[in-house]
Amino acid sequence: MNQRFLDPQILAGIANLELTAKTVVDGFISGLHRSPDFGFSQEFAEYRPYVPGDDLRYVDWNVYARADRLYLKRYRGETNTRVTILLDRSASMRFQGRGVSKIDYARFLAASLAYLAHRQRDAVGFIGFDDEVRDFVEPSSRQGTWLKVLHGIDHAEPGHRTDFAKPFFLFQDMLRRRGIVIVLSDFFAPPAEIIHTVAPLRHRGNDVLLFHVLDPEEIRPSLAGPRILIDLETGQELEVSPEFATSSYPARIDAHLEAMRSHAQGAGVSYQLLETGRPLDAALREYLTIRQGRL
Amino acid sequence: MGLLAPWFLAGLGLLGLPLYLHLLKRHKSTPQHFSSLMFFERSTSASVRQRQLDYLLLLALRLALLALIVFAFTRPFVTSTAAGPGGDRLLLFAIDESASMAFGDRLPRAKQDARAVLSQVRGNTRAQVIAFSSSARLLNEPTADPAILQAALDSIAPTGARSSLGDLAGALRNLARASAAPVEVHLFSDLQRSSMPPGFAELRLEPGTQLVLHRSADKDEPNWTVESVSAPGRLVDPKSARVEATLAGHNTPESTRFVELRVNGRTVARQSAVIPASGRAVVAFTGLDAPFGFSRCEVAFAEPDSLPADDRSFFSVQRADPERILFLHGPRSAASAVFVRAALETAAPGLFTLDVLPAASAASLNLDKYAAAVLSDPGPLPASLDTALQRHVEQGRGLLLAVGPATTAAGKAPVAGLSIRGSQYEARAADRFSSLGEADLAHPAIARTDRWDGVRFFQLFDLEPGSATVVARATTGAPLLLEWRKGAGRALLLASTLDNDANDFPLHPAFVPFIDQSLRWLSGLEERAARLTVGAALDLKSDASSAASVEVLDPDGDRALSLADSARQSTLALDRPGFWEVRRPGGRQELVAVNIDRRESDLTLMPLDSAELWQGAPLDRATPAPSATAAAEPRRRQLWPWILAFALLAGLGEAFVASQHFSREAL
Repeated sequence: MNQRFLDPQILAGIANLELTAKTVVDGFISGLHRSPDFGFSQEFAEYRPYVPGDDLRYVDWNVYARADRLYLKRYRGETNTRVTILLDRSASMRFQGRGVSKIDYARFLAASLAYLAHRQRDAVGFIGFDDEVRDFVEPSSRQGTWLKVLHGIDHAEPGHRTDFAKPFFLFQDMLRRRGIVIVLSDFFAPPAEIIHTVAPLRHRGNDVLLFHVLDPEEIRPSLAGPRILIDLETGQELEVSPEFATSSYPARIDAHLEAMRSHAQGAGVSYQLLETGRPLDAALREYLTIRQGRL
Repeated sequence: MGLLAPWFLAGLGLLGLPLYLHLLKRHKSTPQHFSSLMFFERSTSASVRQRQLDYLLLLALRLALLALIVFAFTRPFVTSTAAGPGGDRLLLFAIDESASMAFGDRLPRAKQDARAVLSQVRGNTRAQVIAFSSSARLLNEPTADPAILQAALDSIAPTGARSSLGDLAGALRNLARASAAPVEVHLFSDLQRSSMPPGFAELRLEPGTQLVLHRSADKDEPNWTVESVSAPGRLVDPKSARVEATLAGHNTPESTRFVELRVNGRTVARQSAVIPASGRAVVAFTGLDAPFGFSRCEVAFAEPDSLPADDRSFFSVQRADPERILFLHGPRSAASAVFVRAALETAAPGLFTLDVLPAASAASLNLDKYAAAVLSDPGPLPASLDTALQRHVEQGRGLLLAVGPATTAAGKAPVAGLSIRGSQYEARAADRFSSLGEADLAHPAIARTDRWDGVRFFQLFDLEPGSATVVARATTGAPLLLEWRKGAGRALLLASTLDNDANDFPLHPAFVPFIDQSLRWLSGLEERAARLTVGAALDLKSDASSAASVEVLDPDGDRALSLADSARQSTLALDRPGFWEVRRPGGRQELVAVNIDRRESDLTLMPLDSAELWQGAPLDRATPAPSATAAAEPRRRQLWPWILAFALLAGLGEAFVASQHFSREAL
């Protein structure tokens, strides 16, 4: 039953984005088995030796009295982080195959991730971009910020063409503190260029997740006869035969996806391909895996 | 190679239709939005080339289909030359033996032409001779023996029958279908216009049959004929008898002709008549002095012309005493005899004698001298009389029974034994009556009675039909007139009276022909046709189950049937004009006058273009010389079946390519 609420087609019928996010996350959480790695209580987690710079409030003085050594006592869930969601709202995200459009799918996922982070008391921020930065909400764990994030996601309508270099140059100024950076995009650009643009975020200590949102029709297009294809971003027209769409194109897109995966792996960036026809849980699991790593 | 109908080539204009449609229906690619074209490249060449190939092939097939259909309609043919008449084909010599071939030298000329063609036939070619008039007769099996063929030709003589080219064409089609080899028909005839069927399509021959016409007449010849004769078949009063003859001329100028009335070979009267140019005239003879019994009469021109067979018209007359009719009435229906007698004297004076008796006093009456009996509401009959009347009917005599109150009281119709359930009585006031409803108007008793118009029945007696046939019903649905048969005889039962007590039938004109026709039919006077034409069939048996033999003597006085045939055959074809004597069981005799079909008298020839159209080639006015047929003769071979076969293939190919083309476009 819970899986049903992760289906993008069903989520498209929910008008309220916050409700959509809650439906997704609550359904996802209730479907998880109990795991110590994903708890949210104030349970004891571990001791670790004190290093200069650690907050003295977390030193276990009882242990120091017995062992004459400084240890920090850690609890699960008490570590908060900054989650910044970058949503590509370029014109190509308007594409819609047989299911929901890519921008809708990305908005559902962004809202769900934001809600999940907000529920964990993480600071959540949002950046919407195409060839410019269109929306920016400074990460914060306050309730007001969470509502701003939701509003920004809700009103993220596809605009112009994508240019990663320019907005990501600005991100580096905006993302001065370390955290988790989630990028939702269709990444119609050379993989090396994308990773080259994103990699500095990783070098600054951020955990970077690239969610590659594609419609199944973009991966395996089925053309009913010769068609004149019109690029959603550039307006360029190209007459394409069905034979090309079924023979050459799949090889090219597969090579692109593999290049994205390998370049991301090489740069230490998490990468996940998301097809708009599939449920949202894969993305949530990926996020939680990253989130766990930051505990 | 040539075209029989080249004007159909105008249909090639239809070829513009697929061209127009193909030009209009040029393929257009459908625009479609896509997120990014970075992985696409222009790739239209292969699909467009394939589509264009399909497109051109489809266009070519459609053009070919239309062109082939148009070409087939033009009836193309190729000519080839044969070595001579015959070869590997079956030769048919069709000789006209109709009455018109007796005009001048037509039949000898036809035979001479046939012999000339026959002399050119190679030794191994089989041939067959057909004599035709109203039907076709095969005179020999297919043979290459010239002697048999010559003998068959020699045996042909003119008959009195009319020629029918439609029937001949049907026979030729059957022969062509039965023959493995191609058929070549040589037709020798005067080709009268009257021989043509109503529709030219009936002259069609099987494909592959070659027809060569040899005309035995050169022009429309004049001819006079005694077209018809109107005379009484039964003669009671010779002095008052009247004979009318219609004289006709075909292609003739106005002329005065003498005609004679002959009885048994003796001229009894002679008159002259002015016959207008190609017109008709009527002559009338009053008084026919014929002896008792059958007489052979004819009206003939005093001087015959070149076609003597139609210059005389035969008819037979039987002079006899009036037929005696027994009229039995009941105690309350004596008045009905007055009405019946008056009707007979009006319609057929002298033909019948009515013996009127009360039914109760006729118990021991000898019925043999009566041709028919009329029972007018007789009431219950004495048993002996009832039995005698049943036997009388069984022997072939007739009975007319009118049912009334007295008979109804007995509960059963006499002689026939049908039960009477009661009566339906209608008051005379306020139009409360019934009249004639559903009726078999072809029945002799009511055929000429104008549906008993205005006759009102106030009282109907409810007869149970049983084994009888209902001839007419009243408007209430009750049986009104029934026919009952026993043995060779028959009876009519009227469910009302013959006087004006239960109806007003005797007061209406329809009563007269009803009584006249009923008694003629019941006494057998109207049973046989006394005049027929050559080729007609004579009905030999009125009762199919009867095994009694019928003796027929032809015009020469010879038996037309063997003993076995006389007992077995139900019809006999009358193949000659003249008088045919028929002796039927029970001692009944007939003398049937047979004349030639008067359509043969019109010697107008078939239009030349019709003859050429039938032959499929120009027809020389002169009879084709035998050498012409013996020389290498071009033969036409029709190509349209092959062209239609190719058109079918083109159609199938078009359907296949079109399905491939459109399924590729639908992807």
